[in-house]
Amino acid sequence: MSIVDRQSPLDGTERAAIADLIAHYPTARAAAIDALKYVQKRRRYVADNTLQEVAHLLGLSAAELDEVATFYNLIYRKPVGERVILLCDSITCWMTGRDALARHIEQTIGIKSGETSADDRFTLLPIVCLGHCDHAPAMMVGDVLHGDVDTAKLDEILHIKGDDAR
Amino acid sequence: MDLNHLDLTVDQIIITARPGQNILEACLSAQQDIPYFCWHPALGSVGACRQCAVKVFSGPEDQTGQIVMACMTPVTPGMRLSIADPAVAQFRDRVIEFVLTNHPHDCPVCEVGGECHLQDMTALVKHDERRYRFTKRTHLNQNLGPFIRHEMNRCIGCYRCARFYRDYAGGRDFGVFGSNRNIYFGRAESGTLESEFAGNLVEVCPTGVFVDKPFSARFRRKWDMRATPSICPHCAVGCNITVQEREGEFRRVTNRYNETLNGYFLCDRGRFGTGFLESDARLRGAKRRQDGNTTVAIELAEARADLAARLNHDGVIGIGSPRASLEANFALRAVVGADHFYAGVSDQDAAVLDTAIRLMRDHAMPIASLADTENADAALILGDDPSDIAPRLALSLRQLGQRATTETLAARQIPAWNDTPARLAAEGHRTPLMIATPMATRLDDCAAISRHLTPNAIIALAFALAHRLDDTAPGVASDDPVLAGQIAGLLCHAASPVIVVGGNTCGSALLLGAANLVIALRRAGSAARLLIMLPEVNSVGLGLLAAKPLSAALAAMTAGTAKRVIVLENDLHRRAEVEALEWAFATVDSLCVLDHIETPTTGAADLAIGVGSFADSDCTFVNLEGRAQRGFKAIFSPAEPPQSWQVLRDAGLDAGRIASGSWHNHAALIEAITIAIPSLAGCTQVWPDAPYDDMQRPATLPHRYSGRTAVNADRNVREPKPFANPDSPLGTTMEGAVLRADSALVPYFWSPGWNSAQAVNKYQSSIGGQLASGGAGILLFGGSAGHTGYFPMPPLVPPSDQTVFLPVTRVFGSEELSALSPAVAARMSAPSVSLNPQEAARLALTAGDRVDCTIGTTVVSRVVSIEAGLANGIAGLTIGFPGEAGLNLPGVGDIHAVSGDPS
Amino acid sequence: MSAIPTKPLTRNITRGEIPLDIASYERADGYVAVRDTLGKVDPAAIVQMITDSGLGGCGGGGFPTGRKWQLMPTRAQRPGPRYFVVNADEMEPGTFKDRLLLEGDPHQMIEGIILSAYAVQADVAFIFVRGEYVTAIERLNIAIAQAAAAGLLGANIFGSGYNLSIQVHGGAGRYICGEETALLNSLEGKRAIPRSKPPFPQINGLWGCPTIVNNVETVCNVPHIVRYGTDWYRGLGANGAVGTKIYGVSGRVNRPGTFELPMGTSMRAMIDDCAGGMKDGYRLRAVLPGGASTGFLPEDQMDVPMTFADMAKRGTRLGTGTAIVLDDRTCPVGFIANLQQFFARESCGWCAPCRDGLPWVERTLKSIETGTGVARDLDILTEMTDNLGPGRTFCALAPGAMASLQSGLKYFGDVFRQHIDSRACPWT
Repeated sequence: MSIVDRQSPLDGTERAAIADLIAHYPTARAAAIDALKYVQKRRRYVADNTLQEVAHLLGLSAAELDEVATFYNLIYRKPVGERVILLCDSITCWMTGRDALARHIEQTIGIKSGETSADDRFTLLPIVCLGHCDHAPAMMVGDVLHGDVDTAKLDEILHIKGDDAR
Repeated sequence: MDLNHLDLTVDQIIITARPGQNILEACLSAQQDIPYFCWHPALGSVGACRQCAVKVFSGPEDQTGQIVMACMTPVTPGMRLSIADPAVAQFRDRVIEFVLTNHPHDCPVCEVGGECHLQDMTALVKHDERRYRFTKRTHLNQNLGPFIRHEMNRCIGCYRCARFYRDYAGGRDFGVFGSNRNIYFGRAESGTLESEFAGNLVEVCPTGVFVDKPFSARFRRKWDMRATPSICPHCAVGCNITVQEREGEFRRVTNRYNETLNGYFLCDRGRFGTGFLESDARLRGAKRRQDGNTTVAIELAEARADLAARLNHDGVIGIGSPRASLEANFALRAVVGADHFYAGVSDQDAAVLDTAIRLMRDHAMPIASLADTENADAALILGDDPSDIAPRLALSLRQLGQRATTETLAARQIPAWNDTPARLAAEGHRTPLMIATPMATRLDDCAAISRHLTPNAIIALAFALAHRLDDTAPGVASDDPVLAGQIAGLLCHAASPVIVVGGNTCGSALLLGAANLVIALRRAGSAARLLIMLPEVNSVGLGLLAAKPLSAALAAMTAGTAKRVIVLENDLHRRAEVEALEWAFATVDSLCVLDHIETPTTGAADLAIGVGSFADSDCTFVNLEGRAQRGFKAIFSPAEPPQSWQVLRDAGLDAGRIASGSWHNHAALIEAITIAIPSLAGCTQVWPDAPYDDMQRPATLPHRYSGRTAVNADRNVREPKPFANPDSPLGTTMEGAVLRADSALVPYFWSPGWNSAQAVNKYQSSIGGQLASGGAGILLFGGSAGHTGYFPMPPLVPPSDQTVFLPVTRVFGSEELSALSPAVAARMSAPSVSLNPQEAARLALTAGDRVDCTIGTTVVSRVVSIEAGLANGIAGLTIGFPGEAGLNLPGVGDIHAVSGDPS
Repeated sequence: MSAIPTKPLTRNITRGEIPLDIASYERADGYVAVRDTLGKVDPAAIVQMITDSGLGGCGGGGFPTGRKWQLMPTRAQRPGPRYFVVNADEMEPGTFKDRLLLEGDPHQMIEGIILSAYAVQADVAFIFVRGEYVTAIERLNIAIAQAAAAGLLGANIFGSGYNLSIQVHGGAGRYICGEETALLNSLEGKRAIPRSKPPFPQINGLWGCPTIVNNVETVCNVPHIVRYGTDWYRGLGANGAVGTKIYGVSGRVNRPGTFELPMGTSMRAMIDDCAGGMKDGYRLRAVLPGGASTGFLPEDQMDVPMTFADMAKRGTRLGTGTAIVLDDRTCPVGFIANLQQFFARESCGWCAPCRDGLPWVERTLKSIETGTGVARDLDILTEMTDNLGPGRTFCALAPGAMASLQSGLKYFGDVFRQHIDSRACPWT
């Protein structure tokens, strides 16, 4: 999906899905986070025009929805790569070497925290404690949780081989 | 035991508080200073800034105490607290230090420097050291439109702006984005703020994030400007304003607190509309037409002599104006004679005004103030949308419609000032606001019932409601008994409901229906009140002069009985159809117009005399409640325009039309008015008389006014002679009586250490309450009684096959003077005709199409806008836009698509 | 009846296995309490039972659950919707106990909700799960569907006249959502800003309606208390405490993990016996007993029973009961700086001291850690622990942040000074 596709108007499926999410709550606004997460899953991030359309479906103004969207760190209002790496930076993971993993990602993929790789494959973001401290350091890639991560495991998870790492 | 007062001990001082207050309100009311940011008397408490921390002790033995936020803590009898306690004082200092970690300290280049609440609070806590040694967060600014400039880096995160704009004023295009330290107050994207109350952000912001943009372009420090109390001239509410000037140039308008009307807030038409004072359209000096189409400038004395010469003849008539002061209208009426004085408004406006005066003056209907309306326990709006006619009234009604019922708050033990839970409690338990209008209103979102009906159906509804409540009221079958039943039920449940009615779209019949409803409610035991939305700042004042409408003047002109016409501050082209008007003008011998702006009417005059605007005059206006209020000459310059009444007096004296010695000063004129018109008797008490000694008059120039003698030193080193205005109780110089809270003569609010708009705290009897000085004008009608009889229902206008055009006023564009302000002009939308989707389809029109609308002999061009909810056969037509001729509305006519490319 | 359990919360949980489906859960004595209670026992009696049991809030506060429930107005006092909300927004750094319960035994969660919601007469329940807990959300939704199919949810459950629906709500991040009133704002689709209290959620909760918010572990205790009684429950504890607690430990211990133990077990017993003690080459220096917002417990106090009261006596808090070990090879300043980075970032931005004070604290600590600290920094930090402390800020986030800083300055003051004096971190 290109960036342009990710900014295309909502299709019928998406509109129906958002209507279904709204039906789960006493108010349409309550479905705001579900709706944002839903469109983000399909489009990687929530573009301005997407936000406006979702807001309209929820009976909100763009500002009202953006207040919510920009508050929560798992809603992306800027383009992200194909795979978002959420690398825990809370205490136990910090103690057990998350900074080394971040450095490894920088060396192999070339991105620092908050950046997206030039090939649009990866975005690295910090995340608060993932509740996996007994397997620190931990991270999530997409929806998948990984524990006891070391550089070798990281390469494996991200399919980084020696050759095409950069 | 006194249940209305309780005592608190604050640092060994005993202060008296009211039960239900919070500590901050109680202490500020008792002149005990506690710094604060997020709290605002009208917005309530949210506990966000933590600036108002005090220490509360649990009992006589407690030496440790507990730190609490004063704004979030209710007072209790015998409470002991400390503001001065070192620990809590240190905490308040550190809170300032925290918010300043991101503040740019750019006071020297900030427009708010010198009237900044953040500066005041910093000084109050004696914070004087910066220890933060890291970088500050920075933001990009947005273009927020012609009214407001954005400087986000100055933000201290108090949330007041978002709370005012969104929660209080109902705006939806502004908010707070992001989280933690990285929060941003603005719009989703750059663009003009949509709310017509956006200008209040300037005063709501405790520092310089939101700046008055037009003022910024002609900026002077607050202490370097003359500040004069005045009345907003842009609608009939008559909000109290302060006009500021320097060097003869208008600078800005700010809110002047008045607990019964505008409280802390103005609408943007009021705040920014006054830019007309500096517009190119100002008529300065006098000019006379000679031989055909050439005009020449003449001296004022010559113009006055010319006017006197005209008054020496018979057949002189005067046409007054609802935008001119009582003084000016009365002066014209006196010099031409009451029988030859005409009101200068359309028949429709005259009929509504006449009915309104009858209801208020003759039938003593109890009239609601804006504060009464805001605090009512139910309200019904009939006929017109206050948002466009009387915006500040709409803001009051919004507070009612958004507020949880008193019972709900009591049951959950939530003080009304505890803003967040109180708003949450309103979900499903709002105070009923009901609306019956032909078109959608901007209050529909907070209304319990909002129905858009034909004018006839609305009139019928009003009478049916009265009849339903009291079967002795004239009966009429309601078109919609279910709706009538719902509204009647909610009104009956209320102890003090307010019926707000406008006659623009439904005419005077609706006013009578509304009056019947108030009478019926009062007979049923409630304290119901009426509020009539009238169009202009002095509509009521003009109405009390009992003049015939403009059509009668035009008839006299065409009949040849009126040969010489004097028009006062009125563009008659806005009031009558052009053809009839120009025919009448063509038949008279002379046309003299006194005005402060150039209009098509001054263009048609053979003698046009530039006079002072409201800001150049001492002027009395009577607002929609029948409240007489006075504004004072606010702008002083060597080439100042004469006041209308003075020109008329001088010419009248020369012509022997008034007795020699008449109206030698303003007070004498007011005296003459009250003798001639008994219902205006209250005008003598609107403001106290000037103290005998000049030095006792409070000064309108702040005591820190700088550069008084140096400012012109490049041209002339001689100190200019001070301006004089013996008619004003306020002094024109820096010298005079010190500002005193208990004085009725307060030119502006300032108190040592309180340089921002919040200085008004020091002038109120209690926070958010009455000004200790009184001074909210004089109500001319002692509305009280329910003993008046019911009004019969007038016959309704029969349905028409043609399209019925209803007038639509727009907050920006429909009001004549404000539309001349460049900032307001930038906010005007295109004149439009609104149709419902079916009607548009029937006429094969879509939104944005250009059409010609023909009403009577007048054709106007409009852009189609589609509005669901409008009844079939009805079209809403924007009126009053600059350059447009008067239209007879409501009226019937046709809509035709304009073929071809409009360009 | 199955054997009366001694580890009721985790009795059905086998690590790495998928959780019991409804049939297996019912075979293991599940939903018996629901069948015996709905329509048969007065809801007020359940509230009383929970009050008597001494069950305290396991989200970190320890507030008695029964007392919380008692503040709920009756249906007669407040007609209309009523809500029961489970706080499954586990985001406290170093805390991973609720994930175990949600993923390991979702039917226990559902059963707890049914009984709790019945007790407070709520007709709609929400489980607010942090968005990252994808597996937990999936498993809860499966369990809800199974329970609904079995007639345990829906209208008129077992002919009792009681209706209940449960909705899982996945969050979108932000630690502050774990604060119960911020959680309610988030559920309403608003920014997760805490609300002022009073009024409490019981009076002015979700959409202004009466609402109870309880932590996952708290609610999971309810079926067992109802099933086996308060005496049984109270008897589970040690050192004068009641019930069991899911404790945990992470850091340089041999077997980091979670352990259901009698409430009141000593810290040393958990670390040495359950977690296998410190890894080779590491020495325990101090622990944060229950997440990032608790203060340090130094190594000489490891015998203290892990109860809310005993921890408070040592100037710290039990918190979530999942401990984080600070070892001798980790710089305490860096450790605290990491905690402060978390709190500064997770501040919601509502109140000034938290929003603007925490970033200052974080920067100061990072400056000290990297050798650019100045002597005055210690005064500023000490003062911060006061000015961002309890009662000063709008909610407990900043005071929680100050717990580690305050105790860190107390126990490791020399380390801070060493950094400043030597202009470098001794650990790097």
